[in-house]
Amino acid sequence: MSKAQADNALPIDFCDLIVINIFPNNGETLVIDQPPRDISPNLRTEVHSIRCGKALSELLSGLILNHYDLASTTVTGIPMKEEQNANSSANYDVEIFHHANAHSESFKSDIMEGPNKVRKTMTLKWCTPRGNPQDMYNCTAVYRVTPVDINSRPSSCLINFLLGGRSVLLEMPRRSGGKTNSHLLSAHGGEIFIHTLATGRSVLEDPPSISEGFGGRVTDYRVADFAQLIQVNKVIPLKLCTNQKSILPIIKMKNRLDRLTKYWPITISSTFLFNIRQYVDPLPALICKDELTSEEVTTCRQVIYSLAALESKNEPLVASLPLIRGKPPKREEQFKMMWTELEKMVRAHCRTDAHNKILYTVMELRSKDPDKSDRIELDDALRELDAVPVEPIARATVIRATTDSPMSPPPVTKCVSIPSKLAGPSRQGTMYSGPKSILDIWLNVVESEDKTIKEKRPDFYGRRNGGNFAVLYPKRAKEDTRDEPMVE
Amino acid sequence: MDLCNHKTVFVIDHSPYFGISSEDPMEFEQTRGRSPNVGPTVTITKSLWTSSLEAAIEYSRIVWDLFPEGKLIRFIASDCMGHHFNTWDLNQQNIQHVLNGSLLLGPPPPPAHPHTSKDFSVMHGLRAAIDVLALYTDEQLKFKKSGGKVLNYCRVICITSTIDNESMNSLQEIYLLVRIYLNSSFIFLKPLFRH
Repeated sequence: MSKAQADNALPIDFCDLIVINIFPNNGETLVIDQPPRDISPNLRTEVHSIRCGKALSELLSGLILNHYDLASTTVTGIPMKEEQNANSSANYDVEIFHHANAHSESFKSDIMEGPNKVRKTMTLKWCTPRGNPQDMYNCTAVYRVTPVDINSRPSSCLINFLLGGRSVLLEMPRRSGGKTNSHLLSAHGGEIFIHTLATGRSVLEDPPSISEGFGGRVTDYRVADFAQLIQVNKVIPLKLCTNQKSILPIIKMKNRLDRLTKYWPITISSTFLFNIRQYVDPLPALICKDELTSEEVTTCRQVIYSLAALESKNEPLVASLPLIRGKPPKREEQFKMMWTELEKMVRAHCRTDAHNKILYTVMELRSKDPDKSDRIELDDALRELDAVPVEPIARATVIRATTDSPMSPPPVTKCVSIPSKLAGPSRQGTMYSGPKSILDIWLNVVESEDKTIKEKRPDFYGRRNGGNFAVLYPKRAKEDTRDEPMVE
Repeated sequence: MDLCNHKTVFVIDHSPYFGISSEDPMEFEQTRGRSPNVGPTVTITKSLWTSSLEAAIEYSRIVWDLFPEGKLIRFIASDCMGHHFNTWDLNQQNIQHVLNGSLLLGPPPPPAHPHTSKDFSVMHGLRAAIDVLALYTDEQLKFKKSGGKVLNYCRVICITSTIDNESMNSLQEIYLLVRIYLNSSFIFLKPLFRH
């Protein structure tokens, strides 16, 4: 072998071998079909055994659909004059092949016919073209077409019609019952193409109504509130800061959005708190802030206290937005819903001591569960609050609005954050002088619950032996020290 | 699957057996000019060879209609040797050229006389197919020159007739062996089957 020949040789990396065993129409064969199988890493074989004649042609046109990723469309209802009788006309069908992607839009609907004979075909109805053939259509894809039966009269009529410069719109029946023009057949430069038309919404149209989005027909989205959320989270392009240490703006923004939407009911019917804004504002807005000033904490607590006052006065909460379904809930339920939601929201935003204080206030006022034996009347709490000296200077403006009511907030400076384990001993002393405060009762409840849990469940092994701190992977640490001398 | 579409070889059995009738009768009406009188119907049947070639040509017609570029198909008839109808050259990638090739070859030969020791087998065609699949097409050559690594994926569609499953399996195995042999040795001129 010469060098030139070796240079021209190209090893076969992969081969798809299809063996078709044919036999005369009146004959029989012992050869059975074999599905595709890899007989070596780079040779796939399949065997078809088939009668010669029409079946062979059908087999090959079936294979070509797979090999070249083609799909079939049957244009139905083509009006044609009868060959014998020019006065009458009949409707004919023509089947065409084209790339399967031309159907990609339509596969979403279920108009594909089942495995009728040999292959699936999509039946689309001929629409006699009207108007200007130069009309522009919003077309998403274009593929060449070829008739399956090239020699049939309907095929050649359709082809000649199209080559003559006219276009045919194809109509797809819709599941909902209507019809839509889904494809267009048209010739360009002597070749015929199928054009997939955009059947969905065009970007030029108005956006769909928000109620028609995913999740069904939801009609009570909190659209106005969402718009507000968008407004306060607008992003503008910034020059990228080269400082490696700073967090990327996008990360910051993601964190912010994540925080703002930690508690954000999507529909009006899924929230009660946001429908009684006249009672809770400005708490929802303030609680989302990164940092809270003491004035803001006071404002929030005032809101919470005024809600508690309403409850104690047996006054119903009037929703500013009517709830969509059903009767308005009973008064007790209203408050239960409100407290649950308020706690959920405040808890979700708990990030600083100031936030903790607000949560703490909510917990304080919420703990009045009628089932609990150590229940304390709200009036007691109010009396207790009254006993606290009113803040002298800084909060004058805030307090002026509420000084007339018995709901004056306790001075923030005297409040402690929710005590943690580390702040253990300080918990023993009450924050207010005199009898037990609601906080003490609450903490007692928590403590007793803690105890019962601990009794039920053995403590974590590491904590039992090593005090508050347990060494992780002690065995591994030993191994490491053992390894060191070997390295040296 | 798509990668295999660049090179396809049809190997069609041209042995005497393929000269027999497919027994798929077609009826023709005889008409004389424009007169409505219909003459006696004439029934004809195609041979296995004609039916196979037509089906293969129909396959290539669809491919060439839909993909004017980059999908190459070669035709090889196999009797006592492989007969090439066309090459990878773009000028020969059309139905007319293939039909002309078949015209030059003619129908399958008559059954071999017992005294003549001609060996009719589809293996000759398959062997020839492997040979031509190992040749660069223009596109592959261009890609190679541009510094790319050519992946030689291809497809062989073989229309033949065997007695039973066993001979079908051995046909596949022989094909595999031949291909491995040729791939490893790159010897294209030395005939594998000497008779």
